[in-house]
Amino acid sequence: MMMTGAYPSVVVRVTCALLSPFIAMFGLYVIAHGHYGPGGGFAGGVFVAVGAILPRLTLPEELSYRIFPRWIGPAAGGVGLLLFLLVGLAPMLVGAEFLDYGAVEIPGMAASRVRYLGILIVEVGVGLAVFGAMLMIFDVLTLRDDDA
Amino acid sequence: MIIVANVLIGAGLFFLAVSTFALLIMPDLYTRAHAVAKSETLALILLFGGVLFRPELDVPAVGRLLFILAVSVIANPTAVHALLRASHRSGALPWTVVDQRIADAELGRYQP
Amino acid sequence: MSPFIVFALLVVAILIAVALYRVWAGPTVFDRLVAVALVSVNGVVVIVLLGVALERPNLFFDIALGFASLAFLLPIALGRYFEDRDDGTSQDGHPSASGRPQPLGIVPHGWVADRGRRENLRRAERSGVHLPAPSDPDDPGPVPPAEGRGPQVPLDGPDDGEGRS
Repeated sequence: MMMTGAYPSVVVRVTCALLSPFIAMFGLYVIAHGHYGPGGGFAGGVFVAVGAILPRLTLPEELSYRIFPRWIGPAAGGVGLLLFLLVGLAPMLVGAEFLDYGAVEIPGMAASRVRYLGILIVEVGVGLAVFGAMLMIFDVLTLRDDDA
Repeated sequence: MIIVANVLIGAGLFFLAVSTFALLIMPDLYTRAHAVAKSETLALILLFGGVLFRPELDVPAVGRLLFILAVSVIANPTAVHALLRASHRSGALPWTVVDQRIADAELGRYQP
Repeated sequence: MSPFIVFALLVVAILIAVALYRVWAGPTVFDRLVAVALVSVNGVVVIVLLGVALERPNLFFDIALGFASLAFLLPIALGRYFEDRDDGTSQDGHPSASGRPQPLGIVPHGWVADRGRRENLRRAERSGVHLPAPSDPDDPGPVPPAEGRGPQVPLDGPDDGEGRS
């Protein structure tokens, strides 16, 4: 079973190469726009992961694994989780609840501004973690014996 | 304006209905997929083109709808193409109405 | 909320229900997948029309765009999966590979197929070919040409087969 590598139809190859960057960029938009619109970190991470999985399904392997290498799944997952934990634990250092960013006092910034930035960073962390997890699931499912 | 929108949406609904009922009554996979790929895409163009003229939409919504239209019109026939190519490769034969023996007889080279 | 948009929403909902019959009854897995592609496109239409009807188009069009791009992944991945399964069975267990007997599942039915069979019988009578009586309800119908059963040569063009590593 070969699920990665070049798709044998040129129509599918060209269409996926055309669409996947737009899907990934829509995922970034969903992550950054999560305050106002639908989605947030989780859905945006899934869209970015789809933008990375479509080249793996359809493009030649040396190309698709150059765009998003194999190590980027575990790395993005770890960095995202770490970002979420650090930003979530920061209010506990000043004696507030977990994820209560407004309590952190940064000189020169209003509490609402700090809360806004905290939510944004946590969304980015969740998005990175979901992206890494999705990519790792796909890579493990399509792992072959010879590159284990 | 709203008349144009409703006429276009009605035409899109008609083609959606055509492709859906073709999915029910067509005899084999290839004819069904033909209905889905072509009539459905035409229905999408008409219907979203009609929604573009609705007064509920502002300028960002029109931009988003144009983007959805572009993605759907590219992606829908490609998806059906991938499915049909896979089915042809794994051996689904198209249904033929005319028996080969009859065709041979009409061409005058039939040996029983 | 305009009544015409509500009417259109009702029509598309009924069409989804009708297309789900093919997902349930489709004899091969590819029939089901083609029907699922149609259902997902109808779902995009439903979300867009909901956005117009509820007068929050920006919110709903974002959801519709996400749904459309996620629905594109399914046929690509499953097409890839079943294309490489060349062992003669589909997921339903019907034999369906080239050159093998006509698959059990895809005996055409419905009035279009019946009209084709009547046309076949009429032409057989006119040209004097004796056909076996179609008494068997599982009769697979006309016999395809012996040398033309399925692709004998690779379907890829000369520039199109190099990609499979």
